[in-house]
Amino acid sequence: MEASLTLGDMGFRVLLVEKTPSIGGKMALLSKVFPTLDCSSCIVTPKMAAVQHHSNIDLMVLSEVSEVIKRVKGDFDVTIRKKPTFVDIDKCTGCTWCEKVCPVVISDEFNFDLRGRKAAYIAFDIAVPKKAVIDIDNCLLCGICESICPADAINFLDTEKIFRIRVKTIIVATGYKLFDPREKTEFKYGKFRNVITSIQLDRLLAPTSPFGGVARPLDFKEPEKIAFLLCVGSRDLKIGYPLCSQVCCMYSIKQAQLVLGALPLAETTIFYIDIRAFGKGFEEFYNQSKLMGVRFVKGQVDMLKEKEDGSICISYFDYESGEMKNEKFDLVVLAVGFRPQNEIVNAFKNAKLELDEYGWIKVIDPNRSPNSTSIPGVFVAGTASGPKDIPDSILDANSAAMAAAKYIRKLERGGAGV
Amino acid sequence: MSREKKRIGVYVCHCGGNISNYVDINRIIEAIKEYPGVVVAKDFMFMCSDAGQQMIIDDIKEEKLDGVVVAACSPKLHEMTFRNAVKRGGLNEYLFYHVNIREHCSWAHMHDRELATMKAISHIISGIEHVKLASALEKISVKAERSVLIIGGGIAGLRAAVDLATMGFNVVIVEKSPFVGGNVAKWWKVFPSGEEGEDIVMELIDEVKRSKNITIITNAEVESVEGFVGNFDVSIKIKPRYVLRDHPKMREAIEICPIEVPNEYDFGLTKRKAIYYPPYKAFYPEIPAIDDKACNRCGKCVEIVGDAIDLSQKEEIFKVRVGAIIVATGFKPYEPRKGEFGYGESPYILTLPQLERILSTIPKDSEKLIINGREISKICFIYCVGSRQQPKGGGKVNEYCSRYCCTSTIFTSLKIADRFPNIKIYHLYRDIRTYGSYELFYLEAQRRKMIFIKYPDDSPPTVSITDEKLLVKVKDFAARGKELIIKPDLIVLAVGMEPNDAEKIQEILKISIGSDGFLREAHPKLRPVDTLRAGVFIAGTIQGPKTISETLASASSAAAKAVSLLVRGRVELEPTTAYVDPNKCNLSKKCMEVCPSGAISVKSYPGIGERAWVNEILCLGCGACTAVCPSEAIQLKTLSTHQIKNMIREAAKIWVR
Amino acid sequence: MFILFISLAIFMEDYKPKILVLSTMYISDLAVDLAGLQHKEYPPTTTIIRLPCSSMFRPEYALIALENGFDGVFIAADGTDCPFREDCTQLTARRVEEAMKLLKEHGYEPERIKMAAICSVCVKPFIRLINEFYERLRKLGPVKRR
Repeated sequence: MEASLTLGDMGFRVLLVEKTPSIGGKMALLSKVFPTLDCSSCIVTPKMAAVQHHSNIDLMVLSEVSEVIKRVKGDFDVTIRKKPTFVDIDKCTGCTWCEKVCPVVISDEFNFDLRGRKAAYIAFDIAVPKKAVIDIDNCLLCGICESICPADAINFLDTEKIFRIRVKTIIVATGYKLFDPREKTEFKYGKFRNVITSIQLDRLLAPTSPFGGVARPLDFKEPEKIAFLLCVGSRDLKIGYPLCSQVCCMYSIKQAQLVLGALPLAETTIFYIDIRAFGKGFEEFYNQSKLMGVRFVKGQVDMLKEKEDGSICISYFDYESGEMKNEKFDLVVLAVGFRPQNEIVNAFKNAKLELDEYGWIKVIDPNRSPNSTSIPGVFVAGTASGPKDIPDSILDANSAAMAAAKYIRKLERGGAGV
Repeated sequence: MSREKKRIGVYVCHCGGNISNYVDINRIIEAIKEYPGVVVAKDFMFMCSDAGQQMIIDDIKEEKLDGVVVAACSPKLHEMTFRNAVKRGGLNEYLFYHVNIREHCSWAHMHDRELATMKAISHIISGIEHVKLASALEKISVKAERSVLIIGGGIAGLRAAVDLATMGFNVVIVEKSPFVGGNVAKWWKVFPSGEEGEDIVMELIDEVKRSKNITIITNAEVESVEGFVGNFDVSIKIKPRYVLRDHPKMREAIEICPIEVPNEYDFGLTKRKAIYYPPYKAFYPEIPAIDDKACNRCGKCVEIVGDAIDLSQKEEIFKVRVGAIIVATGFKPYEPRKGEFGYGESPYILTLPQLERILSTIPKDSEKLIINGREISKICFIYCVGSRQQPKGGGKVNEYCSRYCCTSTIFTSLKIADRFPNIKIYHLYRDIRTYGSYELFYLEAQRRKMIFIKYPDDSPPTVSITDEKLLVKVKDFAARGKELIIKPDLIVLAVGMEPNDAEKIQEILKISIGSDGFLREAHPKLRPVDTLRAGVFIAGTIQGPKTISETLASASSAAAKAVSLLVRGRVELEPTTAYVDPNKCNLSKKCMEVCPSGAISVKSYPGIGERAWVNEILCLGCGACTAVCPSEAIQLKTLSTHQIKNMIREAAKIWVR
Repeated sequence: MFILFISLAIFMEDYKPKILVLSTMYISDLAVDLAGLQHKEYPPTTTIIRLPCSSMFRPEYALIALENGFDGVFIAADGTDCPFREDCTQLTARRVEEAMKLLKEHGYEPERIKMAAICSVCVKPFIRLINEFYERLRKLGPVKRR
């Protein structure tokens, strides 16, 4: 979004293609952000609205780039497949009636399975565009929504549409996905109900929390002792992924602070390898959390056991004493790391968009152009090239916009052909 | 336009039931259709739909409306939609007011239809009262220079300059020292690629030289900046360089100079003459400079190169007008206090930047690492020197983490191990912060059997020196704080970054500094390169510690923001600004006391005399001034005190009917 | 006497104070919006008027509100999130103090005005504070207008 706004402001026409029903990415779903504890949605919503209203930006949601062909002149032919939403986007007003009457309830990916959603739905409260979509795989085709829609916007005959356009340059900002902690079987995620992921905790802490506050998923009890396990799926040679995910330390410290805000009597413990508070204001934030009473233990967690009352016993190696220790917690939060979301590379047909060893889009020349990829004219922005926090992603996006703008200027002067 | 004469259209949205299920729309229409000034009062299923918008457009034309109120959802959602519709109808967009009766009424009070309806009416009435006194306004448009001043000629400044020049902007780089190049030019091998720092800088300098619209002014400092976004008048003080041009015998002239001073380009490790080049290749311009303070005007160099040197050269002032300013003054490495980990007490205790300088000068074929005559076989790196300091006893400390040092130190140690595999390397650290893929360097260092010892936060290692022999005592966190003793040949302090010239910049540009001493961005996430002063941007490490790659991203971001701002040659601002009625103003100057942006000054009005005056380009539109003016002479154009009073009064009356 | 007491109690039970809420366009109004979005209920006898910044509050506004039908004024201030100035809270507080004095001079209880910083997602604090204020006004009873 940031890259397209900056390019739009520079006077270039931008087409923003988004796979899900709403722009905004993962940030629209978080509670507050470190180290300022600003509200996450408040930061991202103005950007979402700005994208929507920008005269130089065209937005395509529920769409995927299926083919990219680089031309000899240096520009690109792009094929975009727009999935059917079964809702006429021009007529839909986002009134949510269809969502209310839809009889289907399935698990909600936007709340990370913490609660259900309907088959006819609006992605989330602050979605842009705020239009309904119908998840046809789960739809019963009962037609109730069609009959109730006051705007007559529902159309079950909607089909996939294919668009072909020519663009001068491409910015890949496909982001990341979260590590699936089921891969780390010793943490029993999915087996022990009171072992949750950090993003689930973030949803519990958000103003739009599905449980209306912090509670254990098992029994809705307010947890008294909470453990945060860092580096879940990061810096882990056992699962063949040695990289650090860069943000988990800080978001866990943030969450520990927010938990203490919501539940002042709670005890929070963070199990870490190294605390990587390296960004602006981060170390100060880390120190503040120590003052607030967050406990930090340099330790290697060995295994978890579930007690009868649902609490979790953690066995860990404590570096400071050099001993194995056991401790009981009400809730265990896994600080899951980032994984690449790189399916886009398959769209590049006649030039290869290279990945690094771990699947992130490879930055070819980080010390000259932080956005350069293996294809001249294709630039990478944000977490598509590796984990980044929000300020770094914003800087990276603007820098990609600049690189793209310069590429267009070069094309205009006829100097960037392949 | 008087209040009674306006012809106002009021439109109430059902929002497909979201509103109409919880408030009585018919009662609303009944209540407002007879209200003074209202000529049209309609309701519709979806006002935001095309049909709803068309209804407004048609009414504006047919009923000759000169004010429109829409009561619907939150203005954050659709205020822009209706503003544009009103504009399409030929009415000034500031004659429209958006009333929220969904989030504020129907959705909040779903179980009290009666009172929710009353509340909606009170909101709509206040909206009508707003429109009655609203006036047509135009956006403020000012001409803007398509040129940018960049302060600082390191990689951030050079990168931003090249970006801007490519986009067709004129750029002036002002560099305080006699040479551009910055800190990176001094570095040996930089992570993650292992290239030499000077190669990276050299390429940038070449790009700058190829570009026609970049002017570099070295040995110069910005003295003052007047004006505002789009039109900054900058005054630059240029110190004499004395060397006017190159000369075939220039090296000879340097040779003969009798003066020697510590060389800051080598972090004081070596000496240089009063006339000098930097000790590496990536600098510009390619003529030497004479150090004004060190030179004793002996004239020996002039005897050799003649009129290529002019010792009578004087300081000059250069003035330029630019549209935007990018601050890229960068960092200086933390200079440890004398005795801090033995610094300054032994030639074998160096900072990391000093080690980089030494490494970049060792001959390519040397098989041993020899520093100050000693063959090095054991190096001990101490981390977090000048960073992550614990606040104690009131003195100023660097509480922040400097971000680059962990990776840089490990990377340098790996490069040393590549060249000299037999050197034993110790790392004394607190947390290893090799974030992201830099973790791979940490793993590689562990693989090569380097020794990592975590020391407790509150108990750093101690260094003692006996007969030039070094001894380090460190408490091992992982062994219950047991003390270990290391006897290295060389101790390297991984020093952090400190902001360079932040205070001076703050004074000249009136932008703010954070508690860590670095310049403060307008918003860490939304606007990381903007400052609160419109048209002034910050790039690179002056905002906070960064790696090379991050610095380049930040520099390009700042350049992109400057392009966006100035590309149209004009800057457009919302007219949500204050203005003064000079006939009412009694010069209490209270407005000036509360103005957060210094937008108000005293001006002489013809025939009236001295009164307050608002520079609308500086005005942020907060309205604080309108709350303190004793004579209500100062008003916001978009929301006057008179308007607010009427809105409150008439809304209040609804509740007592 | 007893009957009088009961009728007063019934009257008090029925008394619904009217509150003028001054919200701010960039911060607190977002929280009020979010309260509605989440269908969090608070007294409906409230009229919300948006200002760019709470420091724009002029003491007379409170007087006009009370004289014409409101029973109290709730200022949902920007607090530290203010996009215009760091000292927003102090500046607004000064205006509120002046307004309290003004109300007193005109024979109204200064407690009829309340200021609280409401961040852009402070739904819970907003609901709690506006309800508390509502109860305070109920205890004070209707404004005795001249």
